[in-house]
Amino acid sequence: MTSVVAAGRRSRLGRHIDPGAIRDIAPMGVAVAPLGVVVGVTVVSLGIPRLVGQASSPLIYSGSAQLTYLTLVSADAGLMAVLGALLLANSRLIIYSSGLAPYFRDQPAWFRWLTPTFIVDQTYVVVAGRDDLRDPARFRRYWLTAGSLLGVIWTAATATGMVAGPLLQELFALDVAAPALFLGLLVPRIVDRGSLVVASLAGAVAAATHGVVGPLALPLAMLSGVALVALTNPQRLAAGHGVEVRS
Amino acid sequence: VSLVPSLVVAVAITWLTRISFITLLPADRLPTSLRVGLEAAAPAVLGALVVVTLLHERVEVTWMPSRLVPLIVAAFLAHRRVNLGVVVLAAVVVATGLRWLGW
Repeated sequence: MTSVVAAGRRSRLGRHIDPGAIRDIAPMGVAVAPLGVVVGVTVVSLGIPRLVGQASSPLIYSGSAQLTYLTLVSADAGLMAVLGALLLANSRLIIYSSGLAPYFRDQPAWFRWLTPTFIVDQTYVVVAGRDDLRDPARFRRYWLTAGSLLGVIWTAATATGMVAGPLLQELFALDVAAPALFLGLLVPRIVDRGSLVVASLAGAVAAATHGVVGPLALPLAMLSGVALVALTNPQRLAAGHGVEVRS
Repeated sequence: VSLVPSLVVAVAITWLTRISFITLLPADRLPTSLRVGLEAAAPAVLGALVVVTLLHERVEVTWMPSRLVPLIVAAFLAHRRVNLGVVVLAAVVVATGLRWLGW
Protein backbone atom coordinates (compact mmCIF):
# COMPACT_ATOMS: atom_id res chain seq x y z
CA MET A 1 0.00 0.00 0.00
CA THR A 2 2.82 2.33 0.93
CA SER A 3 4.56 1.70 -2.38
CA VAL A 4 1.33 2.43 -4.30
CA VAL A 5 0.97 5.76 -2.50
CA ALA A 6 4.63 6.56 -3.13
CA ALA A 7 4.27 5.67 -6.80
CA GLY A 8 1.22 7.92 -7.03
CA ARG A 9 3.15 10.80 -5.48
CA ARG A 10 6.04 10.23 -7.88
CA SER A 11 3.61 10.20 -10.77
CA ARG A 12 1.99 13.49 -9.68
CA LEU A 13 5.45 15.02 -9.26
CA GLY A 14 6.47 13.64 -12.64
CA ARG A 15 3.65 15.56 -14.32
CA HIS A 16 5.18 18.81 -13.10
CA ILE A 17 8.71 18.03 -14.27
CA ASP A 18 9.79 18.70 -17.84
CA PRO A 19 12.53 16.28 -19.00
CA GLY A 20 13.43 18.65 -21.84
CA ALA A 21 14.15 21.40 -19.34
CA ILE A 22 16.42 19.07 -17.40
CA ARG A 23 18.30 18.16 -20.59
CA ASP A 24 18.68 21.84 -21.52
CA ILE A 25 19.64 23.23 -18.13
CA ALA A 26 21.93 20.42 -16.90
CA PRO A 27 24.86 21.55 -19.10
CA MET A 28 24.26 25.08 -17.82
CA GLY A 29 24.51 23.69 -14.31
CA VAL A 30 27.87 22.12 -15.14
CA ALA A 31 29.06 25.48 -16.41
CA VAL A 32 27.70 27.69 -13.64
CA ALA A 33 28.83 25.39 -10.82
CA PRO A 34 32.41 26.70 -10.99
CA LEU A 35 31.06 30.24 -10.73
CA GLY A 36 29.01 29.19 -7.72
CA VAL A 37 32.16 27.77 -6.18
CA VAL A 38 33.89 31.11 -6.78
CA VAL A 39 31.02 32.92 -5.03
CA GLY A 40 31.34 30.51 -2.10
CA VAL A 41 35.07 31.16 -1.89
CA THR A 42 34.36 34.90 -2.01
CA VAL A 43 31.93 34.67 0.91
CA VAL A 44 34.63 33.08 3.05
CA SER A 45 37.44 35.36 1.87
CA LEU A 46 35.39 38.52 2.51
CA GLY A 47 34.55 37.39 6.02
CA ILE A 48 30.80 37.43 5.46
CA PRO A 49 28.75 35.17 7.77
CA ARG A 50 28.21 31.89 5.92
CA LEU A 51 24.49 31.85 6.68
CA VAL A 52 24.00 35.23 4.95
CA GLY A 53 26.25 34.20 2.07
CA GLN A 54 24.38 30.95 1.61
CA ALA A 55 20.94 32.57 1.90
CA SER A 56 21.86 35.11 -0.76
CA SER A 57 22.29 32.33 -3.36
CA PRO A 58 18.63 31.27 -3.75
CA LEU A 59 17.26 34.67 -2.73
CA ILE A 60 19.20 36.85 -5.19
CA TYR A 61 19.56 34.04 -7.76
CA SER A 62 22.09 35.92 -9.87
CA GLY A 63 25.85 35.46 -9.67
CA SER A 64 26.81 38.98 -10.69
CA ALA A 65 24.26 40.63 -8.39
CA GLN A 66 25.27 38.33 -5.56
CA LEU A 67 28.97 39.11 -5.99
CA THR A 68 28.16 42.83 -6.18
CA TYR A 69 26.12 42.61 -2.98
CA LEU A 70 28.73 40.58 -1.09
CA THR A 71 31.58 42.84 -2.17
CA LEU A 72 29.78 46.07 -1.22
CA VAL A 73 28.52 44.74 2.08
CA SER A 74 32.00 43.55 3.04
CA ALA A 75 33.35 46.99 2.09
CA ASP A 76 30.75 48.56 4.39
CA ALA A 77 29.24 50.58 1.53
CA GLY A 78 26.04 52.53 2.17
CA LEU A 79 22.57 51.26 1.35
CA MET A 80 22.26 53.67 -1.61
CA ALA A 81 25.58 52.44 -3.02
CA VAL A 82 24.32 48.85 -2.78
CA LEU A 83 21.08 49.88 -4.47
CA GLY A 84 22.79 51.77 -7.31
CA ALA A 85 25.40 49.09 -7.97
CA LEU A 86 22.75 46.39 -8.05
CA LEU A 87 20.67 48.37 -10.52
CA LEU A 88 23.70 48.51 -12.81
CA ALA A 89 24.60 44.85 -12.27
CA ASN A 90 21.00 43.83 -12.97
CA SER A 91 20.30 46.07 -15.93
CA ARG A 92 20.65 43.18 -18.36
CA LEU A 93 17.81 41.42 -16.52
CA ILE A 94 15.53 44.16 -17.85
CA ILE A 95 16.51 43.16 -21.38
CA TYR A 96 15.86 39.52 -20.56
CA SER A 97 12.54 40.43 -18.95
CA SER A 98 11.43 42.11 -22.15
CA GLY A 99 12.65 39.26 -24.32
CA LEU A 100 10.80 36.67 -22.26
CA ALA A 101 7.61 38.72 -21.80
CA PRO A 102 5.69 36.93 -24.60
CA TYR A 103 6.05 33.62 -22.74
CA PHE A 104 4.56 35.14 -19.57
CA ARG A 105 1.72 37.04 -21.27
CA ASP A 106 -0.96 34.34 -20.91
CA GLN A 107 0.19 32.96 -17.58
CA PRO A 108 -1.69 33.22 -14.26
CA ALA A 109 -0.89 36.17 -11.99
CA TRP A 110 1.08 34.13 -9.44
CA PHE A 111 3.35 32.91 -12.19
CA ARG A 112 3.91 36.39 -13.64
CA TRP A 113 4.70 37.90 -10.22
CA LEU A 114 6.81 35.15 -8.67
CA THR A 115 8.63 33.11 -11.26
CA PRO A 116 10.49 35.87 -13.15
CA THR A 117 12.80 35.31 -10.16
CA PHE A 118 14.31 32.54 -12.28
CA ILE A 119 15.41 34.97 -15.02
CA VAL A 120 19.19 34.74 -15.41
CA ASP A 121 21.60 34.41 -18.33
CA GLN A 122 21.18 30.65 -18.53
CA THR A 123 17.39 30.44 -18.34
CA TYR A 124 17.06 33.31 -20.81
CA VAL A 125 19.24 31.71 -23.45
CA VAL A 126 17.54 28.30 -23.27
CA VAL A 127 14.10 29.87 -23.75
CA ALA A 128 14.52 32.98 -25.93
CA GLY A 129 13.22 32.56 -29.45
CA ARG A 130 11.81 29.06 -28.96
CA ASP A 131 8.41 28.48 -30.53
CA ASP A 132 7.88 25.08 -28.89
CA LEU A 133 7.44 26.81 -25.52
CA ARG A 134 4.63 29.16 -26.60
CA ASP A 135 1.96 26.93 -25.03
CA PRO A 136 1.36 28.40 -21.53
CA ALA A 137 1.11 25.06 -19.68
CA ARG A 138 4.22 23.67 -21.41
CA PHE A 139 6.16 26.85 -20.65
CA ARG A 140 5.09 26.79 -16.99
CA ARG A 141 6.33 23.23 -16.57
CA TYR A 142 9.55 23.95 -18.46
CA TRP A 143 10.30 27.21 -16.64
CA LEU A 144 9.65 25.86 -13.14
CA THR A 145 11.75 22.75 -13.80
CA ALA A 146 14.66 24.66 -15.34
CA GLY A 147 14.63 27.45 -12.75
CA SER A 148 14.37 25.11 -9.77
CA LEU A 149 17.10 22.80 -10.99
CA LEU A 150 19.47 25.67 -11.72
CA GLY A 151 18.72 27.16 -8.29
CA VAL A 152 19.53 23.88 -6.55
CA ILE A 153 22.79 23.51 -8.49
CA TRP A 154 23.78 27.12 -7.81
CA THR A 155 23.03 26.89 -4.10
CA ALA A 156 24.91 23.59 -3.78
CA ALA A 157 27.87 25.03 -5.70
CA THR A 158 28.17 28.06 -3.41
CA ALA A 159 28.00 25.76 -0.37
CA THR A 160 30.76 23.64 -1.91
CA GLY A 161 32.80 26.77 -2.56
CA MET A 162 32.61 27.75 1.09
CA VAL A 163 33.97 24.34 2.09
CA ALA A 164 36.32 23.16 -0.66
CA GLY A 165 36.65 26.05 -3.11
CA PRO A 166 40.33 26.88 -2.78
CA LEU A 167 41.36 23.24 -3.40
CA LEU A 168 39.08 22.86 -6.47
CA GLN A 169 40.32 26.11 -8.00
CA GLU A 170 43.89 24.95 -7.60
CA LEU A 171 43.25 21.60 -9.25
CA PHE A 172 41.08 22.62 -12.22
CA ALA A 173 40.97 25.59 -14.61
CA LEU A 174 37.39 26.41 -13.65
CA ASP A 175 37.61 30.02 -14.84
CA VAL A 176 37.29 28.94 -18.47
CA ALA A 177 33.89 27.29 -17.91
CA ALA A 178 31.78 30.45 -18.16
CA PRO A 179 33.21 31.87 -21.44
CA ALA A 180 33.12 28.34 -22.92
CA LEU A 181 29.46 28.02 -21.97
CA PHE A 182 28.46 31.30 -23.58
CA LEU A 183 30.61 30.61 -26.64
CA GLY A 184 28.96 27.21 -26.97
CA LEU A 185 25.58 28.92 -26.97
CA LEU A 186 26.63 31.74 -29.27
CA VAL A 187 28.22 29.76 -32.12
CA PRO A 188 25.03 27.93 -33.24
CA ARG A 189 23.15 31.26 -33.18
CA ILE A 190 25.48 32.86 -35.72
CA VAL A 191 23.23 31.95 -38.63
CA ASP A 192 23.84 34.87 -40.99
CA ARG A 193 25.88 38.03 -41.43
CA GLY A 194 23.39 40.03 -39.36
CA SER A 195 23.71 37.88 -36.25
CA LEU A 196 27.52 37.84 -36.68
CA VAL A 197 27.60 41.65 -36.85
CA VAL A 198 25.36 42.01 -33.79
CA ALA A 199 27.40 39.55 -31.70
CA SER A 200 30.71 41.08 -32.84
CA LEU A 201 29.55 44.62 -32.08
CA ALA A 202 28.40 43.62 -28.59
CA GLY A 203 31.67 41.78 -27.95
CA ALA A 204 33.75 44.71 -29.19
CA VAL A 205 31.82 47.20 -27.04
CA ALA A 206 32.22 44.93 -24.01
CA ALA A 207 35.98 44.63 -24.62
CA ALA A 208 36.38 48.38 -25.14
CA THR A 209 34.38 49.46 -22.12
CA HIS A 210 35.14 46.68 -19.63
CA GLY A 211 38.14 48.37 -18.11
CA VAL A 212 36.52 51.81 -18.14
CA VAL A 213 32.96 51.50 -16.87
CA GLY A 214 33.16 48.22 -14.92
CA PRO A 215 29.74 46.65 -14.38
CA LEU A 216 28.17 48.96 -16.98
CA ALA A 217 30.11 47.25 -19.78
CA LEU A 218 27.75 44.31 -20.05
CA PRO A 219 24.47 46.25 -20.38
CA LEU A 220 26.18 48.81 -22.65
CA ALA A 221 27.38 46.06 -24.96
CA MET A 222 23.99 44.34 -25.00
CA LEU A 223 22.18 47.59 -25.66
CA SER A 224 24.50 48.41 -28.56
CA GLY A 225 23.57 45.08 -30.16
CA VAL A 226 19.88 45.53 -29.44
CA ALA A 227 19.97 49.07 -30.86
CA LEU A 228 21.62 47.81 -34.04
CA VAL A 229 18.88 45.19 -34.46
CA ALA A 230 16.09 47.68 -33.74
CA LEU A 231 17.49 50.33 -36.09
CA THR A 232 18.36 48.10 -39.03
CA ASN A 233 16.42 45.01 -40.00
CA PRO A 234 14.79 43.46 -36.96
CA GLN A 235 12.59 40.94 -38.79
CA ARG A 236 15.53 39.36 -40.60
CA LEU A 237 17.62 39.12 -37.47
CA ALA A 238 14.68 37.93 -35.41
CA ALA A 239 14.20 35.09 -37.87
CA GLY A 240 17.80 34.03 -37.43
CA HIS A 241 17.58 34.32 -33.68
CA GLY A 242 15.42 31.33 -32.90
CA VAL A 243 17.99 28.56 -32.90
CA GLU A 244 17.12 25.86 -30.44
CA VAL A 245 19.62 24.98 -27.73
CA ARG A 246 20.85 21.42 -28.08
CA SER A 247 21.36 19.12 -25.17
CA VAL B 1 25.19 48.96 6.17
CA SER B 2 23.90 45.95 8.08
CA LEU B 3 23.61 42.59 6.41
CA VAL B 4 19.91 41.77 6.57
CA PRO B 5 18.45 45.12 5.36
CA SER B 6 20.96 45.21 2.53
CA LEU B 7 20.07 41.63 1.58
CA VAL B 8 16.39 42.60 1.51
CA VAL B 9 17.24 45.56 -0.76
CA ALA B 10 19.34 43.32 -3.00
CA VAL B 11 16.55 40.77 -3.34
CA ALA B 12 13.93 43.47 -3.97
CA ILE B 13 15.97 45.28 -6.64
CA THR B 14 16.81 42.06 -8.43
CA TRP B 15 13.17 40.94 -8.38
CA LEU B 16 11.87 44.32 -9.61
CA THR B 17 14.26 44.35 -12.58
CA ARG B 18 13.07 40.87 -13.49
CA ILE B 19 9.37 41.64 -13.43
CA SER B 20 9.83 45.08 -15.05
CA PHE B 21 8.68 44.20 -18.58
CA ILE B 22 6.57 41.20 -17.59
CA THR B 23 4.28 42.46 -14.85
CA LEU B 24 4.92 46.17 -14.29
CA LEU B 25 5.08 47.42 -17.90
CA PRO B 26 4.16 44.58 -20.28
CA ALA B 27 6.53 44.52 -23.23
CA ASP B 28 3.68 44.49 -25.78
CA ARG B 29 3.18 48.19 -25.02
CA LEU B 30 6.66 49.00 -26.35
CA PRO B 31 7.24 50.19 -29.94
CA THR B 32 7.37 47.25 -32.37
CA SER B 33 10.94 47.86 -33.57
CA LEU B 34 12.24 48.03 -30.00
CA ARG B 35 10.26 44.94 -28.98
CA VAL B 36 11.50 42.88 -31.92
CA GLY B 37 14.99 44.21 -31.35
CA LEU B 38 14.89 43.10 -27.72
CA GLU B 39 13.52 39.68 -28.67
CA ALA B 40 16.36 39.27 -31.16
CA ALA B 41 18.98 40.26 -28.66
CA ALA B 42 20.38 36.78 -27.96
CA PRO B 43 23.48 37.09 -30.19
CA ALA B 44 24.27 40.49 -28.65
CA VAL B 45 23.75 39.19 -25.13
CA LEU B 46 25.91 36.12 -25.73
CA GLY B 47 28.64 38.05 -27.56
CA ALA B 48 28.89 40.46 -24.64
CA LEU B 49 28.81 37.66 -22.05
CA VAL B 50 31.65 35.76 -23.78
CA VAL B 51 33.91 38.82 -23.69
CA VAL B 52 33.04 39.95 -20.17
CA THR B 53 33.50 36.49 -18.64
CA LEU B 54 36.74 36.11 -20.60
CA LEU B 55 38.10 39.40 -19.31
CA HIS B 56 36.77 39.04 -15.79
CA GLU B 57 39.62 39.91 -13.41
CA ARG B 58 42.20 38.46 -15.81
CA VAL B 59 42.78 41.11 -18.46
CA GLU B 60 46.53 40.54 -18.55
CA VAL B 61 46.36 36.77 -19.27
CA THR B 62 43.43 36.76 -21.67
CA TRP B 63 45.44 35.63 -24.66
CA MET B 64 47.52 32.99 -22.90
CA PRO B 65 47.15 29.55 -24.53
CA SER B 66 45.53 28.15 -21.39
CA ARG B 67 42.55 30.46 -22.02
CA LEU B 68 42.53 30.89 -25.78
CA VAL B 69 43.06 27.28 -26.90
CA PRO B 70 40.20 25.87 -24.77
CA LEU B 71 37.85 28.45 -26.25
CA ILE B 72 38.89 27.54 -29.80
CA VAL B 73 38.14 23.91 -28.91
CA ALA B 74 34.78 24.96 -27.43
CA ALA B 75 33.87 26.98 -30.54
CA PHE B 76 34.82 24.07 -32.82
CA LEU B 77 32.75 21.57 -30.84
CA ALA B 78 29.81 23.98 -30.68
CA HIS B 79 30.02 24.46 -34.43
CA ARG B 80 29.83 20.66 -34.81
CA ARG B 81 26.67 20.76 -32.64
CA VAL B 82 28.19 18.71 -29.84
CA ASN B 83 26.30 18.55 -26.52
CA LEU B 84 26.78 21.79 -24.59
CA GLY B 85 27.92 20.01 -21.42
CA VAL B 86 30.62 18.26 -23.41
CA VAL B 87 31.68 21.60 -24.89
CA VAL B 88 32.16 23.10 -21.42
CA LEU B 89 33.86 20.03 -19.96
CA ALA B 90 36.23 19.78 -22.94
CA ALA B 91 37.23 23.42 -22.47
CA VAL B 92 37.89 22.91 -18.75
CA VAL B 93 39.88 19.69 -19.37
CA VAL B 94 42.02 21.30 -22.09
CA ALA B 95 42.62 24.42 -19.97
CA THR B 96 43.54 22.30 -16.94
CA GLY B 97 45.92 20.19 -19.04
CA LEU B 98 47.61 23.24 -20.53
CA ARG B 99 47.98 24.79 -17.11
CA TRP B 100 49.56 21.65 -15.73
CA LEU B 101 52.00 21.79 -18.64
CA GLY B 102 52.89 25.29 -17.56
CA TRP B 103 51.39 27.17 -20.53
